[in-house]
Formats: sequence, structure tokens, C-alpha cells
Amino acid sequence: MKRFSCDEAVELTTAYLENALGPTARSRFESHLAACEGCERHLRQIKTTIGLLGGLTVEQSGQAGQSEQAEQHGPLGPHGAFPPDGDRLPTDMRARLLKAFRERRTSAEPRTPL
Amino acid sequence: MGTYLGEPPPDDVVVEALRAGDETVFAQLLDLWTPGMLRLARSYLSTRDSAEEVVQDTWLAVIGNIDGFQRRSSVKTWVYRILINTAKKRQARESRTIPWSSAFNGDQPEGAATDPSRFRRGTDLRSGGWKELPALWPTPEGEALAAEARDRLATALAGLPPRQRTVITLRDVEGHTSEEVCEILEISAANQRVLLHRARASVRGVMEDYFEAASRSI
Ligand SMILES: [Zn+2]
Repeated sequence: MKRFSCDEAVELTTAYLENALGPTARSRFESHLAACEGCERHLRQIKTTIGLLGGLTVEQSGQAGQSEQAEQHGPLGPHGAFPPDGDRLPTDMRARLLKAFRERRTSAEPRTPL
Repeated sequence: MGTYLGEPPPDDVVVEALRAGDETVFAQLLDLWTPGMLRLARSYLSTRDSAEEVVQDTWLAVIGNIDGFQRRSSVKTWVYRILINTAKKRQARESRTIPWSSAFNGDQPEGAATDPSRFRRGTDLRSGGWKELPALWPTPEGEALAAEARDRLATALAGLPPRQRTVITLRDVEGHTSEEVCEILEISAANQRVLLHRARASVRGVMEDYFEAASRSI
């Protein structure tokens, strides 16, 4: 059975993690990893990257709770593209949406089915 | 603030509550999902104002259409589909941004996602093997490292082509399943996987450079 080379194996990382490899490819991938430190590290780093990405929202939600800190950083915040304030709607917009939701209820009431 | 109250109730409860006009549940969904929706809208639109309006219009559409929701998908997938469609329409109106369809082409270059120069070339048995193993990464422990690493991640995401950014944001930042992402974006499973793979490979590359530079500076 043909072995995967490292450059072939790394291109299959996502398919492997998505469970999209057939049984043969999967077992070839796994036996390559068992014998190859470079690809094993590579896979671990991809998993670490996924973990770090998943932490972006968790940490942000935490920060949003610490309102004082979040407010001090101003509109751009300390984290560039994902500022703590950048993930909320302006207060007036949020209020308008809540109002629209309330009004939907009132306008829907007369049309209660028989 | 103080509005991030964890997981929303199950879908059946959510749908009934919204139809019955339960403002608490609506406010909870609004606060829980808006951050992710804003991030996603930003991957289609160049300004924060446009993204906010798209998110607002999405919620208005949700309010207006909840009675007609068919439950063929989860509520969240349904909301995200409205968001994507609203964002695409808005994007088409804003001439300076690249339309989704043409952005798509440049988004999927041919060839390997991982830099081919990392591997040996030749005809012997070692061909295709690592020239140099990827360096070990430190276990992120300290707060300082975490904050810096996050910064780098955000930059890496921002630098991705739009479709890759959308897919990796939905999957790895927001935690949608691959099935949900295919449904939201109306793409095939194979297509989703290719976009996700390229995006992850790029972000890993950025983090590798970052950890390498960090270890040299110690
Ligand atoms: Zn290998």
C-alpha cells in the first residue's frame, strides 16, 4: 500500500478532522501520523489553532460582562479587528429592535385565528 | 451588559416564545447572536455601519417572519441564512465591494494550502517530506500571551479572502457544524471543506510565524 508523503498528508488534515476520508485513506493517514513527528505536530497545531479561534468568542463574552473595562478601551478596543465594543449593536438600534418586537405582538393580536 | 446569559432554550421553546411575544427570549437571542452576526456581516461589507444595518434588517425580518418559520432547519441556521442573504443584497448595492460570486474565484487558488517550499523535492523516498519539522508551539498559559495570540488571530482572520473568512468564522469561531455552514452559504460539503482547509492552513501559518518570533525574542 502506497504511503502518504508529508505534503500529501497535510492537505488531508481538514478532511480527516471532518471525518470525510474513506476507511483506507483514513488508516493510511493515521499510520503516517503515527510514524511522522512533523505531521503529528502539524495536526496538533491545526487543532490548537481551532481551539484558539473558538476562544475568541468565549473571551469576548467574558469581556462584555466586564463593562467598565470594555468601555475604557473605546470603539476600537485593545484587540483590533475584534474589539469588545465591536460586537454589540448601538444601544438605540437594540432598543428599536425590542420595540419592533413588542409592536409585532400588538399588531398580531387582532388576527388571532378562530 | 449582563445580557450574555449563556445558551438559549431549545428551538421549540424559542419558536413558541417568539410567536407568543416573549421579549425576554427575544432579547436573549439578540444579545447572544448579534456579536457573531456582526462579525459575519463584516466579512461581506466594508463598513461597520453597513454591517450594523444588515444585522438590524435581519432581526426585523426574523420578527416579521417567525410565524412562517418552517422548522426545516435550526432557528440559528434560519437567522444566519437571512443574514447572509441580506448581506449579499447590501453588498451588491455597494459598488466598492467585490461581489460574492467574483470574490469566489480568487478565493480558491489552485494548489496546496500549505507552503510547498516546506517539503523536499526529488525522486527519492524522502521526497514530499518536511525539510524542517514545524517548530513546537509553547503551551499558551500566561494572560499576556493569550491576549497577544488573540490579536494575531484576529489579524490573520481579517487577512483571509472573504469566503474563507466566512467559513472559518462560522465553523471555528462561532461553532456551527459543517452541515449548518453548507446550508447557510448554499455550498457543497466538498467546497466547504476546501475553504475551511485553506483558511485553517493560513491561520496556522500566521500563528507559526508568531510563535517563532516570540520564541526568538525570549
Ligand atoms: Zn509526515
